[in-house]
Amino acid sequence: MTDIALTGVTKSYGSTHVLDSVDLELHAGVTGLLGPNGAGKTTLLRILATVLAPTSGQLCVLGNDPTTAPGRTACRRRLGYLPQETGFPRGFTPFAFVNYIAALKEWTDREARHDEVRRVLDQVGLSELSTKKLRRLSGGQRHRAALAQALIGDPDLLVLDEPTTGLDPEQRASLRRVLSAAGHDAVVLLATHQTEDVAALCERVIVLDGGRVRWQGTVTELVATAIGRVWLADEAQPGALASWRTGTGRFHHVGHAPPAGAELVEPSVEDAYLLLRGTAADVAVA
Amino acid sequence: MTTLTAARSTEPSPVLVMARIEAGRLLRHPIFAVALALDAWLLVSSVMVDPEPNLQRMSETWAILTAFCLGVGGFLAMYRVTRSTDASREVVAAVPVDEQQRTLALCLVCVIPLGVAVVSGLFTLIAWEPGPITEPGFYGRLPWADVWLFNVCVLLASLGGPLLGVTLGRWWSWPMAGAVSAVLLVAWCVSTGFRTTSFVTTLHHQAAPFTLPITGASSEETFRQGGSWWWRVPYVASLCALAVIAALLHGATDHRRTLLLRTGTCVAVLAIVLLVVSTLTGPQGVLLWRA
Repeated sequence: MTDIALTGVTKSYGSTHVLDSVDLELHAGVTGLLGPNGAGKTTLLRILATVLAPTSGQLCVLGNDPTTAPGRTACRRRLGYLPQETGFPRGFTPFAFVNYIAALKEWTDREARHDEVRRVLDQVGLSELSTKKLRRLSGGQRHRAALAQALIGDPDLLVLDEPTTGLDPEQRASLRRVLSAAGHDAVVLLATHQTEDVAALCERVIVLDGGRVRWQGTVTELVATAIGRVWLADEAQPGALASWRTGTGRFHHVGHAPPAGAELVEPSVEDAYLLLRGTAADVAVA
Repeated sequence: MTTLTAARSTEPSPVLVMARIEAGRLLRHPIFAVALALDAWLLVSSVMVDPEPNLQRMSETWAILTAFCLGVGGFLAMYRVTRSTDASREVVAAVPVDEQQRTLALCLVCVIPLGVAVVSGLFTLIAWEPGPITEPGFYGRLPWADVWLFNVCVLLASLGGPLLGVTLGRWWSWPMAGAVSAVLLVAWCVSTGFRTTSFVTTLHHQAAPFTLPITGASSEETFRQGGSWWWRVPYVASLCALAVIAALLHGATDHRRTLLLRTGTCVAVLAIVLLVVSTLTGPQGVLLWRA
Protein backbone atom coordinates (compact mmCIF):
# COMPACT_ATOMS: atom_id res chain seq x y z
CA MET A 1 0.00 0.00 0.00
CA THR A 2 1.28 3.48 -0.89
CA ASP A 3 1.37 5.79 2.10
CA ILE A 4 2.50 8.93 0.32
CA ALA A 5 1.98 9.71 -3.35
CA LEU A 6 3.02 12.82 -5.23
CA THR A 7 2.00 13.25 -8.83
CA GLY A 8 3.36 16.12 -10.88
CA VAL A 9 3.93 18.24 -7.78
CA THR A 10 5.36 21.64 -8.68
CA LYS A 11 6.25 24.53 -6.44
CA SER A 12 7.03 27.82 -8.12
CA TYR A 13 7.96 31.27 -6.94
CA GLY A 14 7.30 33.49 -9.91
CA SER A 15 9.06 31.88 -12.85
CA THR A 16 11.39 29.83 -10.65
CA HIS A 17 10.41 26.19 -10.24
CA VAL A 18 11.76 25.02 -6.89
CA LEU A 19 10.07 21.70 -7.48
CA ASP A 20 9.30 20.67 -11.01
CA SER A 21 6.75 17.91 -11.66
CA VAL A 22 7.87 15.61 -8.90
CA ASP A 23 6.40 12.11 -8.95
CA LEU A 24 7.08 10.03 -5.86
CA GLU A 25 5.72 7.14 -3.87
CA LEU A 26 6.77 6.49 -0.32
CA HIS A 27 6.07 3.51 1.89
CA ALA A 28 6.78 2.54 5.47
CA GLY A 29 10.48 2.51 6.15
CA VAL A 30 13.26 5.03 6.20
CA THR A 31 13.87 6.94 2.99
CA GLY A 32 16.79 9.29 2.53
CA LEU A 33 16.53 12.45 0.48
CA LEU A 34 19.84 13.54 -1.00
CA GLY A 35 20.68 16.48 -3.17
CA PRO A 36 22.85 19.56 -3.37
CA ASN A 37 21.90 22.83 -1.70
CA GLY A 38 18.98 24.41 -3.52
CA ALA A 39 17.83 21.09 -4.98
CA GLY A 40 14.36 21.50 -3.44
CA LYS A 41 14.71 19.06 -0.54
CA THR A 42 13.43 21.41 2.14
CA THR A 43 10.58 22.57 -0.10
CA LEU A 44 9.53 18.97 -0.68
CA LEU A 45 9.65 18.25 3.05
CA ARG A 46 7.66 21.38 3.86
CA ILE A 47 4.99 20.36 1.37
CA LEU A 48 4.78 16.89 2.91
CA ALA A 49 4.63 18.47 6.37
CA THR A 50 1.61 20.53 5.19
CA VAL A 51 3.46 23.75 5.95
CA LEU A 52 3.62 24.72 2.30
CA ALA A 53 1.04 24.17 -0.43
CA PRO A 54 2.20 23.03 -3.85
CA THR A 55 1.57 25.31 -6.81
CA SER A 56 0.20 22.40 -8.80
CA GLY A 57 0.06 18.63 -8.80
CA GLN A 58 -1.63 16.03 -6.68
CA LEU A 59 -0.68 14.98 -3.22
CA CYS A 60 -1.95 12.12 -1.11
CA VAL A 61 -0.54 11.84 2.40
CA LEU A 62 -1.70 8.86 4.46
CA GLY A 63 -4.91 8.75 2.48
CA ASN A 64 -5.64 12.47 2.87
CA ASP A 65 -5.44 15.45 0.58
CA PRO A 66 -3.46 18.11 2.47
CA THR A 67 -4.55 20.84 0.08
CA THR A 68 -7.96 20.84 1.79
CA ALA A 69 -8.43 22.05 5.37
CA PRO A 70 -9.92 18.78 6.73
CA GLY A 71 -7.29 16.75 4.87
CA ARG A 72 -4.53 18.94 6.25
CA THR A 73 -5.75 18.51 9.81
CA ALA A 74 -6.07 14.75 9.32
CA CYS A 75 -2.47 14.64 8.01
CA ARG A 76 -1.16 16.72 10.88
CA ARG A 77 -2.70 14.36 13.43
CA ARG A 78 -0.41 11.62 12.11
CA LEU A 79 2.65 13.71 11.36
CA GLY A 80 5.93 14.48 13.10
CA TYR A 81 8.01 17.22 11.57
CA LEU A 82 11.52 18.39 12.34
CA PRO A 83 12.39 21.51 10.35
CA GLN A 84 15.93 22.37 9.36
CA GLU A 85 16.19 24.99 12.08
CA THR A 86 13.97 25.10 15.13
CA GLY A 87 13.86 28.07 17.44
CA PHE A 88 12.38 27.91 20.91
CA PRO A 89 10.20 30.31 22.89
CA ARG A 90 12.26 32.21 25.43
CA GLY A 91 12.45 30.70 28.91
CA PHE A 92 11.26 27.24 27.90
CA THR A 93 12.76 24.02 29.19
CA PRO A 94 12.81 20.90 26.96
CA PHE A 95 9.88 19.54 28.97
CA ALA A 96 7.87 22.76 28.63
CA PHE A 97 8.57 22.97 24.91
CA VAL A 98 7.67 19.39 24.10
CA ASN A 99 4.64 19.64 26.41
CA TYR A 100 3.51 22.76 24.55
CA ILE A 101 3.81 21.06 21.17
CA ALA A 102 2.09 17.95 22.54
CA ALA A 103 -0.87 20.11 23.59
CA LEU A 104 -0.91 21.55 20.07
CA LYS A 105 -0.98 17.96 18.83
CA GLU A 106 -4.22 17.49 20.75
CA TRP A 107 -2.82 15.63 23.72
CA THR A 108 -5.44 17.16 25.93
CA ASP A 109 -5.22 14.82 28.92
CA ARG A 110 -2.57 16.33 31.16
CA GLU A 111 -1.33 13.09 32.69
CA ALA A 112 -1.16 11.21 29.39
CA ARG A 113 0.56 14.20 27.79
CA HIS A 114 3.18 14.42 30.49
CA ASP A 115 3.84 10.69 30.24
CA GLU A 116 4.28 11.01 26.50
CA VAL A 117 6.59 14.01 26.88
CA ARG A 118 8.74 12.08 29.32
CA ARG A 119 8.80 9.11 26.92
CA VAL A 120 10.02 11.09 23.90
CA LEU A 121 12.54 13.04 25.98
CA ASP A 122 13.88 9.74 27.22
CA GLN A 123 13.98 8.46 23.65
CA VAL A 124 16.29 11.30 22.59
CA GLY A 125 18.31 11.11 25.80
CA LEU A 126 17.18 14.39 27.32
CA SER A 127 15.44 13.12 30.45
CA GLU A 128 18.05 14.45 32.81
CA LEU A 129 18.09 17.86 31.16
CA SER A 130 14.34 18.21 30.81
CA THR A 131 14.01 20.98 33.40
CA LYS A 132 17.03 22.99 32.34
CA LYS A 133 16.44 26.14 30.28
CA LEU A 134 16.86 25.46 26.58
CA ARG A 135 19.09 28.47 26.14
CA ARG A 136 21.58 26.88 28.54
CA LEU A 137 21.80 23.66 26.50
CA SER A 138 24.26 22.94 23.72
CA GLY A 139 23.24 23.08 20.07
CA GLY A 140 23.09 19.29 19.88
CA GLN A 141 20.91 19.07 23.00
CA ARG A 142 18.53 21.71 21.65
CA HIS A 143 18.39 19.81 18.39
CA ARG A 144 17.37 16.69 20.29
CA ALA A 145 14.62 18.64 22.04
CA ALA A 146 13.36 19.67 18.62
CA LEU A 147 13.51 16.07 17.49
CA ALA A 148 11.60 14.94 20.59
CA GLN A 149 8.57 17.01 19.61
CA ALA A 150 8.53 15.29 16.21
CA LEU A 151 8.35 11.88 17.90
CA ILE A 152 5.27 12.68 20.00
CA GLY A 153 2.58 10.04 19.56
CA ASP A 154 4.67 7.75 17.33
CA PRO A 155 3.52 9.48 14.14
CA ASP A 156 2.76 7.54 10.97
CA LEU A 157 4.80 10.02 8.96
CA LEU A 158 8.09 11.47 10.17
CA VAL A 159 9.49 14.28 8.08
CA LEU A 160 12.99 15.23 9.18
CA ASP A 161 15.16 17.92 7.67
CA GLU A 162 18.81 17.22 8.43
CA PRO A 163 18.12 15.44 11.71
CA THR A 164 21.74 14.58 12.49
CA THR A 165 23.19 18.06 12.04
CA GLY A 166 25.12 19.13 15.13
CA LEU A 167 25.02 15.73 16.80
CA ASP A 168 28.15 13.98 18.02
CA PRO A 169 28.82 10.39 16.92
CA GLU A 170 27.18 8.84 20.00
CA GLN A 171 24.08 10.99 19.63
CA ARG A 172 24.00 10.18 15.93
CA ALA A 173 24.13 6.46 16.65
CA SER A 174 21.38 6.88 19.22
CA LEU A 175 19.24 8.80 16.74
CA ARG A 176 19.74 6.11 14.13
CA ARG A 177 18.39 3.58 16.59
CA VAL A 178 15.30 5.72 17.21
CA LEU A 179 14.64 6.38 13.54
CA SER A 180 15.18 2.80 12.42
CA ALA A 181 12.71 1.67 15.09
CA ALA A 182 10.21 4.28 13.89
CA GLY A 183 10.68 3.09 10.33
CA HIS A 184 9.22 -0.34 11.13
CA ASP A 185 5.68 1.04 11.02
CA ALA A 186 5.94 4.62 9.86
CA VAL A 187 7.06 6.44 6.75
CA VAL A 188 10.28 8.21 7.68
CA LEU A 189 11.66 10.70 5.19
CA LEU A 190 14.87 12.43 6.06
CA ALA A 191 16.77 14.99 4.07
CA THR A 192 20.46 14.96 4.74
CA HIS A 193 23.88 15.79 3.41
CA GLN A 194 25.33 12.96 5.49
CA THR A 195 25.61 10.04 3.10
CA GLU A 196 26.81 7.79 5.91
CA ASP A 197 23.42 8.29 7.59
CA VAL A 198 21.74 7.17 4.41
CA ALA A 199 23.97 4.10 4.25
CA ALA A 200 23.35 3.27 7.89
CA LEU A 201 19.63 3.97 8.06
CA CYS A 202 17.77 4.12 4.81
CA GLU A 203 16.16 1.45 2.74
CA ARG A 204 15.46 3.78 -0.14
CA VAL A 205 17.10 6.88 -1.52
CA ILE A 206 15.74 9.75 -3.55
CA VAL A 207 18.16 12.13 -5.20
CA LEU A 208 16.74 15.54 -5.99
CA ASP A 209 18.51 17.97 -8.24
CA GLY A 210 17.21 21.21 -9.70
CA GLY A 211 13.76 20.52 -8.32
CA ARG A 212 13.44 17.18 -10.11
CA VAL A 213 13.85 13.61 -8.99
CA ARG A 214 17.16 12.58 -10.49
CA TRP A 215 17.22 9.07 -9.11
CA GLN A 216 15.27 6.85 -6.75
CA GLY A 217 15.70 3.30 -5.61
CA THR A 218 17.18 1.22 -2.84
CA VAL A 219 20.50 2.03 -1.23
CA THR A 220 21.93 -1.18 -2.65
CA GLU A 221 20.87 -0.16 -6.14
CA LEU A 222 22.42 3.26 -5.69
CA VAL A 223 25.71 1.80 -4.51
CA ALA A 224 25.62 -0.71 -7.36
CA THR A 225 25.71 2.12 -9.89
CA ALA A 226 29.23 2.92 -8.67
CA ILE A 227 30.70 -0.60 -8.79
CA GLY A 228 33.81 -0.56 -10.93
CA ARG A 229 34.01 3.22 -10.89
CA VAL A 230 35.85 3.82 -7.65
CA TRP A 231 39.54 3.16 -7.37
CA LEU A 232 42.67 3.92 -5.40
CA ALA A 233 45.89 5.22 -6.89
CA ASP A 234 49.18 6.57 -5.65
CA GLU A 235 48.79 9.78 -7.59
CA ALA A 236 45.86 12.11 -8.33
CA GLN A 237 44.54 11.21 -11.75
CA PRO A 238 42.93 13.66 -14.13
CA GLY A 239 39.63 12.54 -15.59
CA ALA A 240 38.13 11.46 -12.28
CA LEU A 241 34.94 13.23 -11.28
CA ALA A 242 36.19 13.52 -7.72
CA SER A 243 39.39 12.56 -5.99
CA TRP A 244 41.00 13.17 -2.66
CA ARG A 245 44.00 12.10 -0.66
CA THR A 246 43.03 9.59 2.01
CA GLY A 247 44.61 9.10 5.41
CA THR A 248 46.84 6.34 4.02
CA GLY A 249 48.41 8.79 1.61
CA ARG A 250 46.77 7.22 -1.44
CA PHE A 251 44.21 8.92 -3.66
CA HIS A 252 40.55 7.87 -3.74
CA HIS A 253 39.04 8.40 -7.18
CA VAL A 254 35.46 8.39 -8.37
CA GLY A 255 34.88 8.48 -12.10
CA HIS A 256 33.25 6.83 -15.04
CA ALA A 257 36.40 5.43 -16.58
CA PRO A 258 39.02 4.01 -14.24
CA PRO A 259 42.37 3.45 -15.96
CA ALA A 260 43.32 -0.02 -16.99
CA GLY A 261 44.62 -2.05 -14.09
CA ALA A 262 43.27 0.40 -11.52
CA GLU A 263 42.86 -0.90 -7.99
CA LEU A 264 39.06 -0.95 -7.74
CA VAL A 265 37.48 -0.62 -4.31
CA GLU A 266 34.03 -1.14 -2.94
CA PRO A 267 31.99 2.03 -3.46
CA SER A 268 30.08 3.85 -0.77
CA VAL A 269 26.79 5.75 -0.95
CA GLU A 270 28.82 8.94 -1.18
CA ASP A 271 30.77 7.62 -4.18
CA ALA A 272 27.56 6.65 -5.91
CA TYR A 273 26.03 10.04 -5.13
CA LEU A 274 29.07 11.87 -6.49
CA LEU A 275 28.92 9.80 -9.64
CA LEU A 276 25.26 10.53 -10.01
CA ARG A 277 25.84 14.24 -9.50
CA GLY A 278 28.71 14.12 -11.97
CA THR A 279 26.48 12.43 -14.49
CA ALA A 280 23.82 15.01 -13.86
CA ALA A 281 26.34 17.78 -14.43
CA ASP A 282 27.49 16.14 -17.67
CA VAL A 283 23.93 15.89 -18.89
CA ALA A 284 23.31 19.46 -17.93
CA VAL A 285 26.38 20.61 -19.85
CA ALA A 286 25.48 18.48 -22.83
CA MET B 1 -0.12 6.47 16.37
CA THR B 2 -2.52 4.41 18.42
CA THR B 3 -1.69 6.23 21.65
CA LEU B 4 -2.37 9.55 19.95
CA THR B 5 -5.82 8.48 18.87
CA ALA B 6 -6.63 7.02 22.26
CA ALA B 7 -5.60 10.13 24.11
CA ARG B 8 -7.72 12.35 21.93
CA SER B 9 -11.08 10.66 22.31
CA THR B 10 -12.69 11.87 25.54
CA GLU B 11 -10.68 14.88 26.56
CA PRO B 12 -11.49 18.60 26.79
CA SER B 13 -11.26 20.93 23.84
CA PRO B 14 -7.70 21.64 22.66
CA VAL B 15 -8.54 25.35 22.78
CA LEU B 16 -9.26 25.16 26.51
CA VAL B 17 -6.13 23.10 27.11
CA MET B 18 -4.06 25.65 25.19
CA ALA B 19 -5.77 28.48 27.05
CA ARG B 20 -4.75 26.89 30.34
CA ILE B 21 -1.14 26.57 29.22
CA GLU B 22 -1.07 30.11 27.82
CA ALA B 23 -2.64 31.42 31.05
CA GLY B 24 0.25 29.93 32.98
CA ARG B 25 2.67 31.60 30.59
CA LEU B 26 0.96 34.97 31.02
CA LEU B 27 1.02 34.71 34.81
CA ARG B 28 4.72 33.83 34.72
CA HIS B 29 5.56 36.52 32.19
CA PRO B 30 7.85 39.12 33.79
CA ILE B 31 5.99 42.11 32.32
CA PHE B 32 2.63 40.91 33.62
CA ALA B 33 4.12 39.94 36.97
CA VAL B 34 5.59 43.43 37.31
CA ALA B 35 2.30 45.01 36.21
CA LEU B 36 0.38 42.98 38.82
CA ALA B 37 2.86 43.80 41.56
CA LEU B 38 2.91 47.49 40.64
CA ASP B 39 -0.88 47.63 40.56
CA ALA B 40 -1.20 46.00 43.98
CA TRP B 41 1.58 47.99 45.57
CA LEU B 42 0.41 51.38 44.30
CA LEU B 43 -3.20 50.62 45.15
CA VAL B 44 -2.41 49.61 48.72
CA SER B 45 0.23 52.26 49.30
CA SER B 46 -2.03 55.04 48.01
CA VAL B 47 -4.65 54.27 50.64
CA MET B 48 -2.05 53.72 53.32
CA VAL B 49 -0.80 57.27 52.96
CA ASP B 50 -4.32 58.65 52.67
CA PRO B 51 -5.56 59.56 56.14
CA GLU B 52 -9.20 59.68 55.02
CA PRO B 53 -9.75 57.41 52.07
CA ASN B 54 -12.86 58.32 50.18
CA LEU B 55 -14.62 56.79 47.24
CA GLN B 56 -13.62 59.56 44.89
CA ARG B 57 -9.88 59.46 45.41
CA MET B 58 -9.90 55.69 45.73
CA SER B 59 -11.82 55.22 42.49
CA GLU B 60 -9.57 57.60 40.58
CA THR B 61 -6.55 55.71 41.83
CA TRP B 62 -8.09 52.33 41.03
CA ALA B 63 -9.25 53.41 37.56
CA ILE B 64 -5.97 54.87 36.41
CA LEU B 65 -3.79 52.17 37.96
CA THR B 66 -5.97 49.40 36.58
CA ALA B 67 -6.08 50.85 33.08
CA PHE B 68 -2.34 51.45 33.06
CA CYS B 69 -1.02 48.36 34.82
CA LEU B 70 -3.48 45.77 33.57
CA GLY B 71 -4.43 47.41 30.28
CA VAL B 72 -0.98 48.47 29.09
CA GLY B 73 0.93 45.81 31.05
CA GLY B 74 -1.48 43.16 29.78
CA PHE B 75 -1.09 44.52 26.26
CA LEU B 76 2.69 44.19 26.35
CA ALA B 77 2.66 40.80 28.04
CA MET B 78 0.11 39.29 25.65
CA TYR B 79 1.98 40.76 22.69
CA ARG B 80 5.13 39.00 23.87
CA VAL B 81 3.32 35.74 24.67
CA THR B 82 1.70 35.77 21.23
CA ARG B 83 4.99 36.43 19.48
CA SER B 84 6.97 33.96 21.56
CA THR B 85 6.24 30.98 19.31
CA ASP B 86 7.48 32.79 16.21
CA ALA B 87 10.85 31.10 16.62
CA SER B 88 9.14 27.70 16.39
CA ARG B 89 6.88 28.78 13.53
CA GLU B 90 7.67 25.80 11.30
CA VAL B 91 6.94 23.27 14.03
CA VAL B 92 3.79 25.02 15.15
CA ALA B 93 2.55 25.25 11.56
CA ALA B 94 2.52 21.46 11.25
CA VAL B 95 0.25 20.63 14.20
CA PRO B 96 -3.48 19.88 14.09
CA VAL B 97 -4.43 22.77 16.39
CA ASP B 98 -4.48 25.53 13.82
CA GLU B 99 -3.64 29.21 14.15
CA GLN B 100 -7.23 30.31 14.77
CA GLN B 101 -7.58 27.87 17.65
CA ARG B 102 -4.32 29.07 19.13
CA THR B 103 -5.42 32.69 18.74
CA LEU B 104 -8.75 31.91 20.37
CA ALA B 105 -6.92 30.35 23.30
CA LEU B 106 -4.80 33.48 23.65
CA CYS B 107 -7.91 35.67 23.55
CA LEU B 108 -9.49 33.56 26.30
CA VAL B 109 -6.42 34.17 28.44
CA CYS B 110 -7.19 37.92 28.29
CA VAL B 111 -10.00 37.39 30.80
CA ILE B 112 -7.27 37.03 33.44
CA PRO B 113 -6.39 40.76 33.51
CA LEU B 114 -10.13 41.47 33.44
CA GLY B 115 -10.64 39.15 36.40
CA VAL B 116 -7.80 40.81 38.28
CA ALA B 117 -9.37 44.21 37.59
CA VAL B 118 -12.72 43.02 38.92
CA VAL B 119 -11.13 41.57 42.04
CA SER B 120 -9.05 44.68 42.69
CA GLY B 121 -12.17 46.82 42.23
CA LEU B 122 -14.14 44.75 44.72
CA PHE B 123 -11.19 44.74 47.09
CA THR B 124 -11.01 48.51 46.81
CA LEU B 125 -14.68 48.86 47.62
CA ILE B 126 -14.85 46.32 50.42
CA ALA B 127 -11.48 46.30 52.15
CA TRP B 128 -10.95 50.02 52.33
CA GLU B 129 -14.40 50.92 53.59
CA PRO B 130 -14.20 54.34 52.08
CA GLY B 131 -15.97 57.18 53.74
CA PRO B 132 -18.49 59.47 52.10
CA ILE B 133 -17.49 61.79 49.32
CA THR B 134 -16.32 65.05 50.80
CA GLU B 135 -14.81 66.68 47.74
CA PRO B 136 -16.91 68.47 45.18
CA GLY B 137 -15.05 67.38 42.03
CA PHE B 138 -15.28 64.30 39.85
CA TYR B 139 -17.55 61.68 41.43
CA GLY B 140 -19.13 64.23 43.69
CA ARG B 141 -20.62 66.00 40.72
CA LEU B 142 -21.04 63.28 38.11
CA PRO B 143 -24.26 61.32 37.88
CA TRP B 144 -23.80 57.91 39.50
CA ALA B 145 -24.71 56.19 36.27
CA ASP B 146 -21.76 57.88 34.58
CA VAL B 147 -19.47 56.85 37.41
CA TRP B 148 -20.42 53.19 37.09
CA LEU B 149 -20.31 53.28 33.31
CA PHE B 150 -16.84 54.78 33.57
CA ASN B 151 -15.82 51.92 35.87
CA VAL B 152 -17.15 49.41 33.35
CA CYS B 153 -14.93 51.09 30.75
CA VAL B 154 -11.98 50.66 33.11
CA LEU B 155 -12.72 46.93 33.25
CA LEU B 156 -13.03 46.84 29.46
CA ALA B 157 -9.62 48.54 29.20
CA SER B 158 -8.08 45.74 31.23
CA LEU B 159 -9.60 43.29 28.74
CA GLY B 160 -9.08 45.31 25.57
CA GLY B 161 -5.39 46.05 26.18
CA PRO B 162 -4.38 42.38 26.30
CA LEU B 163 -6.68 41.56 23.36
CA LEU B 164 -4.99 44.29 21.34
CA GLY B 165 -1.66 42.74 22.34
CA VAL B 166 -2.76 39.43 20.80
CA THR B 167 -3.92 41.18 17.62
CA LEU B 168 -0.72 43.13 17.15
CA GLY B 169 1.29 40.04 18.03
CA ARG B 170 -0.39 38.26 15.14
CA TRP B 171 -0.04 41.07 12.61
CA TRP B 172 3.01 43.13 13.54
CA SER B 173 6.30 41.35 13.85
CA TRP B 174 8.80 44.17 13.35
CA PRO B 175 11.23 44.80 16.21
CA MET B 176 9.94 46.98 19.05
CA ALA B 177 6.41 46.91 17.62
CA GLY B 178 4.97 46.13 21.05
CA ALA B 179 6.82 48.89 22.88
CA VAL B 180 6.13 51.49 20.18
CA SER B 181 2.46 50.53 20.09
CA ALA B 182 2.22 50.76 23.89
CA VAL B 183 3.70 54.26 23.85
CA LEU B 184 1.30 55.33 21.09
CA LEU B 185 -1.62 53.80 22.95
CA VAL B 186 -0.78 55.67 26.15
CA ALA B 187 -0.14 58.89 24.21
CA TRP B 188 -3.53 58.56 22.52
CA CYS B 189 -5.29 58.10 25.86
CA VAL B 190 -3.39 60.95 27.51
CA SER B 191 -4.18 63.25 24.59
CA THR B 192 -7.87 63.03 25.47
CA GLY B 193 -7.20 65.05 28.63
CA PHE B 194 -7.84 68.34 26.85
CA ARG B 195 -11.25 69.89 27.19
CA THR B 196 -13.80 68.86 24.61
CA THR B 197 -15.04 72.00 22.94
CA SER B 198 -16.34 70.78 19.59
CA PHE B 199 -17.61 67.71 17.76
CA VAL B 200 -14.08 66.87 16.64
CA THR B 201 -12.51 67.11 20.10
CA THR B 202 -15.39 65.15 21.63
CA LEU B 203 -15.03 62.52 18.90
CA HIS B 204 -11.31 62.29 19.67
CA HIS B 205 -12.10 61.96 23.37
CA GLN B 206 -14.75 59.28 22.89
CA ALA B 207 -12.72 57.32 20.33
CA ALA B 208 -9.84 56.59 22.71
CA PRO B 209 -9.77 53.09 24.23
CA PHE B 210 -9.40 54.66 27.68
CA THR B 211 -10.24 58.16 28.84
CA LEU B 212 -11.42 59.99 31.95
CA PRO B 213 -14.88 61.58 32.13
CA ILE B 214 -13.53 64.77 33.65
CA THR B 215 -10.58 67.05 33.22
CA GLY B 216 -9.43 70.20 34.93
CA ALA B 217 -7.15 73.05 33.95
CA SER B 218 -6.04 73.04 37.56
CA SER B 219 -7.08 71.54 40.85
CA GLU B 220 -9.38 74.50 41.27
CA GLU B 221 -11.96 73.36 38.78
CA THR B 222 -13.52 70.25 37.24
CA PHE B 223 -14.70 70.02 33.63
CA ARG B 224 -17.04 67.26 32.52
CA GLN B 225 -15.96 66.02 29.10
CA GLY B 226 -18.55 65.79 26.35
CA GLY B 227 -20.22 62.63 25.10
CA SER B 228 -22.46 59.88 26.40
CA TRP B 229 -21.03 57.14 28.57
CA TRP B 230 -24.09 55.01 27.90
CA TRP B 231 -22.98 54.72 24.27
CA ARG B 232 -19.29 54.69 25.05
CA VAL B 233 -19.49 51.36 26.91
CA PRO B 234 -20.82 49.38 23.90
CA TYR B 235 -18.36 51.26 21.68
CA VAL B 236 -15.38 50.08 23.77
CA ALA B 237 -16.89 46.59 23.91
CA SER B 238 -17.10 46.61 20.12
CA LEU B 239 -13.40 47.56 19.98
CA CYS B 240 -12.65 44.45 22.07
CA ALA B 241 -14.69 42.34 19.65
CA LEU B 242 -12.86 43.89 16.70
CA ALA B 243 -9.52 43.03 18.28
CA VAL B 244 -10.57 39.38 18.61
CA ILE B 245 -11.83 39.23 15.02
CA ALA B 246 -8.70 40.92 13.65
CA ALA B 247 -6.49 38.49 15.57
CA LEU B 248 -8.48 35.49 14.30
CA LEU B 249 -8.28 36.79 10.75
CA HIS B 250 -4.54 36.23 10.63
CA GLY B 251 -3.88 33.01 8.76
CA ALA B 252 -7.59 32.35 8.17
CA THR B 253 -8.47 30.89 4.80
CA ASP B 254 -11.46 29.98 2.69
CA HIS B 255 -14.93 30.36 4.20
CA ARG B 256 -13.55 31.06 7.67
CA ARG B 257 -11.77 34.14 6.34
CA THR B 258 -14.90 35.26 4.53
CA LEU B 259 -16.98 34.81 7.67
CA LEU B 260 -14.49 36.75 9.80
CA LEU B 261 -14.25 39.55 7.23
CA ARG B 262 -18.03 39.90 7.09
CA THR B 263 -18.39 39.82 10.86
CA GLY B 264 -15.50 42.23 11.27
CA THR B 265 -17.03 44.66 8.80
CA CYS B 266 -20.36 44.56 10.66
CA VAL B 267 -18.68 45.12 14.03
CA ALA B 268 -16.53 47.94 12.60
CA VAL B 269 -19.60 49.69 11.20
CA LEU B 270 -21.35 49.19 14.54
CA ALA B 271 -18.34 50.65 16.37
CA ILE B 272 -18.33 53.73 14.16
CA VAL B 273 -22.06 54.24 14.67
CA LEU B 274 -21.69 53.83 18.44
CA LEU B 275 -18.77 56.27 18.46
CA VAL B 276 -20.68 58.91 16.54
CA VAL B 277 -23.78 58.44 18.69
CA SER B 278 -21.72 58.60 21.89
CA THR B 279 -20.16 61.82 20.62
CA LEU B 280 -23.40 63.49 19.63
CA THR B 281 -25.52 62.45 22.59
CA GLY B 282 -25.09 63.04 26.29
CA PRO B 283 -24.13 66.35 27.85
CA GLN B 284 -21.47 68.26 25.99
CA GLY B 285 -18.48 69.67 27.84
CA VAL B 286 -19.56 71.55 30.96
CA LEU B 287 -17.76 73.12 33.86
CA LEU B 288 -18.91 71.09 36.85
CA TRP B 289 -17.25 72.95 39.61
CA ARG B 290 -14.89 75.87 40.30
CA ALA B 291 -13.36 76.84 43.61
